[in-house]
Amino acid sequence: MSCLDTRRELLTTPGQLSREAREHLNECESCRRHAREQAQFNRKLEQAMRIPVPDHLGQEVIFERSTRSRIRQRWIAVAAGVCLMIVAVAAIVLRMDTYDEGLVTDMIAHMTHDPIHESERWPQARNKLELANQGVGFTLTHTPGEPVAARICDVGTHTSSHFVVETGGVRATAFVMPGDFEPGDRYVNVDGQRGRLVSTPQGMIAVFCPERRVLDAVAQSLRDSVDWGSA
Amino acid sequence: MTERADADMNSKQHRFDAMVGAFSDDVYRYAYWLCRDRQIAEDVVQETLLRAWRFMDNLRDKKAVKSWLITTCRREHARLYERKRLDRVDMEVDDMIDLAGDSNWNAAELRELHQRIHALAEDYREPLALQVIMGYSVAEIAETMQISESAVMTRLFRARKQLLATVDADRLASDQVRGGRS
Repeated sequence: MSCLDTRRELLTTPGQLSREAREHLNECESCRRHAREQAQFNRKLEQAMRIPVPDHLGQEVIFERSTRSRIRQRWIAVAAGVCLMIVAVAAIVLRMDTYDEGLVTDMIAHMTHDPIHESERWPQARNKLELANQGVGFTLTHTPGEPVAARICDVGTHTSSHFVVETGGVRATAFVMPGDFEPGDRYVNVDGQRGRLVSTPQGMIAVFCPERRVLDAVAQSLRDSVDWGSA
Repeated sequence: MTERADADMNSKQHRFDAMVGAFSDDVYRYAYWLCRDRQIAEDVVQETLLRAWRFMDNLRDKKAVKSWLITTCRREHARLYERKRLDRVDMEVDDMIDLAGDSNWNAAELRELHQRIHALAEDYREPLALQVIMGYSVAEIAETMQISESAVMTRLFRARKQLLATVDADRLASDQVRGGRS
């Protein structure tokens, strides 16, 4: 190895000299002297770089850790509170949904046991519809389609006007029941029965019909024509 | 169950304290030479050791711990600089010189060298710190800095060359002054 390469190695990896560099140093007095100077410089360099470390360094870390731990505990408490609130809200919403679903199930069960939608048109069906509506507590400003049958029924805990109307040869079954409901308008499809629920703070209008066009027409017509306060 | 948890916690605490005792000084010095600011270096070390506490269960091998700490320290330093532009506080250099180690050097010489190291570009300062403080080999520095071994050797060579050049120039100037007086 040459003097140049040896000195380059002394500058680069003084603590990891190669065998060749060490052999060269054994043979070359000039490089040995240079190596001694380098070693002295490296000791000085090490001392300059080994700056004093603050005494409190370790203690601060431990203090900070416990502080963080407390902060984390606080955050966990806040997060738990938020989770509880979400669960509470979800429970209320689910309860409403369950309530609605239960009501829908009740209506479909009632339709199965009282299939007035399958019956022949009742004599004086329009009069019977008006009587049923008045009996429950509302009036219709106009009837969506031709009335087929109508009676007062109990659906779950609600008293309802249960009636069937026919429009364009298609029948739709409706339940109109006064009560305090969360306002909404949504479609349901339970046990193959397609329906639409229009609820207001005054009452619920539920329409069931296999044809979407008739379903919407009857539901919208009832929504516009039900007069909850005139009965 | 609680006793078991306490025992685990004590064991974790014990290992953490041992790790802090073994490595925190060198990690602090490395952090200092990265940022050249005592306060920032302390923040970087705090973050590094806090991360170490969280990952303590995965840190078993002593050699791996050292390497993990340096890599994390490096990342925390970069993150701190990313997050905010930090103002460095210039400290009295005398506060940063440990004169207890070797009495062969006077404070003026060490102060001068300290300032020269300060003035080195980070590309040169960092591998030098890893080699001198952490005792890293060229291969270990290359792995930590994600550069080639030849790049590490070039940087180490240039770093020492620059420092020696200034020291030699100072010595020459000093000799000339002494020669003029005699």
